[in-house]
Amino acid sequence: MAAGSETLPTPRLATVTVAGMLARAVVIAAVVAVVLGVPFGLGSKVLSDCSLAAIYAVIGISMNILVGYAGQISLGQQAFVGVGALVASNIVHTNTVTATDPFLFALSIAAAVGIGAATALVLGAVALRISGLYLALVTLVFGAVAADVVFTIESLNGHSAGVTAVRPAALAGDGAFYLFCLAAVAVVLYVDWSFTRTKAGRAVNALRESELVAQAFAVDVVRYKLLAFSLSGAIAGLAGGIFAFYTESFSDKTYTYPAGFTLALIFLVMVVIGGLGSRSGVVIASAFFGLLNPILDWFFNTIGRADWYVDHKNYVPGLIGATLLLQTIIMNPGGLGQVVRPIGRWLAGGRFTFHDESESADVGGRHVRA
Amino acid sequence: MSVLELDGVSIRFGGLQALDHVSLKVDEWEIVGLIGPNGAGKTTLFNCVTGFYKPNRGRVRYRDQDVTNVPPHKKAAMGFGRTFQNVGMVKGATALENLKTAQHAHAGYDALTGIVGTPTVLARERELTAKADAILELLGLEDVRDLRVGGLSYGTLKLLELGCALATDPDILLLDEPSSGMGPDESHELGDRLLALRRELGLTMLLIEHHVPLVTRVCDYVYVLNFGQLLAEGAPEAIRNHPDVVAAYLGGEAPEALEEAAE
Repeated sequence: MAAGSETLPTPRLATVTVAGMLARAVVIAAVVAVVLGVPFGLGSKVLSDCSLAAIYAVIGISMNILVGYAGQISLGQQAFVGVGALVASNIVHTNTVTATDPFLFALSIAAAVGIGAATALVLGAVALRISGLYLALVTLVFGAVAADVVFTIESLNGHSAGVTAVRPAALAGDGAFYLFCLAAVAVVLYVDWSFTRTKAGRAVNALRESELVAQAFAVDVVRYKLLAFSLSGAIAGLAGGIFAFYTESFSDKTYTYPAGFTLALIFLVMVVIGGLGSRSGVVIASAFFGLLNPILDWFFNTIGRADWYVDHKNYVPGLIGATLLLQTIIMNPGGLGQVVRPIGRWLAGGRFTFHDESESADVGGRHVRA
Repeated sequence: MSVLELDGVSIRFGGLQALDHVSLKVDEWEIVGLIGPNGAGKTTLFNCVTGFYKPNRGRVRYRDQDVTNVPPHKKAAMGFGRTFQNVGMVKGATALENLKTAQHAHAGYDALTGIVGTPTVLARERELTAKADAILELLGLEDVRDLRVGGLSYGTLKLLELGCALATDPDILLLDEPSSGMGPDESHELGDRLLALRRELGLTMLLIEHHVPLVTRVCDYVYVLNFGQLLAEGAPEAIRNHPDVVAAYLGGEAPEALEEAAE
């Protein structure tokens, strides 16, 4: 499966015409309009749905670091999200429904990040010696055990009745909360981008392809695998913390069987459909899966089959996920990333072409005579 | 003081004694050849030197320091640059990215600072790119800078891999069959290149090579390995006509046969 950091050829903005600049500005404005204008235009319900899409995007990025960059298949990501939500909600929980103090809110989000990283580090340490199928199995078991052990501790999960996590006053509105979620996506995107273009990202990319080569390049494979795990866990924990405030409660049922297992599968499916290693593809695919339920509600309402959908709600989203997964694997192994990459190259100032110039063979070069 | 010294290195894989009490040394500024038939243990010896394998017995010393049990990534950071028999590079990354990855130990910032992205990091990244570009220029590989390594021809790959080994800023280069996949002209050019690298960068090299004219031209000293044991050692010319060596390669043919093969 095509993976690796997205490499854009050297930008040639200097050669772009005024019309070209305008066209690019229009496209960027359209994206901004869809991300900001549409949800705000459609009101509270849609804003709330889009917040969930943004949280999914954060989770998608966290999955992409572990699975796409480091090549470590994770079926336990929901556990990192869950501990983040658990810790955040317990920090801010009070018996009265009052808005959370902003400082406490910040503390709870930071704690969610920390616990996510720590949990992932533990799983990473266990997973160091295994790869492939066995790693997938261990992460799956890890998620299940975390669900059965951690999330069912009565004193932490509000005796199975849930732990409230009321938003701070400033984020109480759906619009403000959506902007907060978007800001989180922006920060995480920056971290991810920064990671891939510096030594840590290069090291992780090398060790995914070959641990021998990585070592020959002086990369400490153990250290960088653990770094990938903890960075991924930190971001998943962040998503969990935000999710607790999104629902304004923590419920163990979200992360225990069967809902937790479904989440684990969705998280993996969405990064594969987005394209392993492709930042933009993964964000788009994850946001889509975050929005899938509201989209389906809307669709079946519009065609007047809402009753039918209510009866079949349990498997329709899964069926769509499975169909898209098959389509990706059979027809489009690079995922959505492969589809949007020409657009990315064009926006960066290159020509619009489906042909990736970095894939060219070096025929005709003067050094090629063999 | 030798740059590299192996003292009675032995390693066993199950019933196979892959290396049996091998001792050799590489002095400063020397280019030493390691030859021997397939399966003689040449690459195994490289793996023992670079830390990928731990010898069962014997010591590996680097500038009088015992490095037998130093793990490979630390060896690479100490100055062991190596290439692999079947090309060790990140296939999905471009030539430039590979050269920057190879400078990992000399990035000059730690991983977390890199993720935060301070101005120091940006400045260092530019320097890493500049060094990568300089290596590309040195090897005449500017054309492939932004191409994915997976799509390059074998000869280009071997040359670029040498570039990656150089990018690790080595003190001693261990090259595993650098001329494989190259024609006679290219391998002659490679010989010039290796000699130039020694002259300009002051490198010490240990190379596994089958191409006799290249070995004769660049090597100061040659060790011959057969079935995990040192069969012979000496100056290239002497080795070339050594009856045991010829026998090992050609199964007891007359020395003339090797001469012919060498032409």
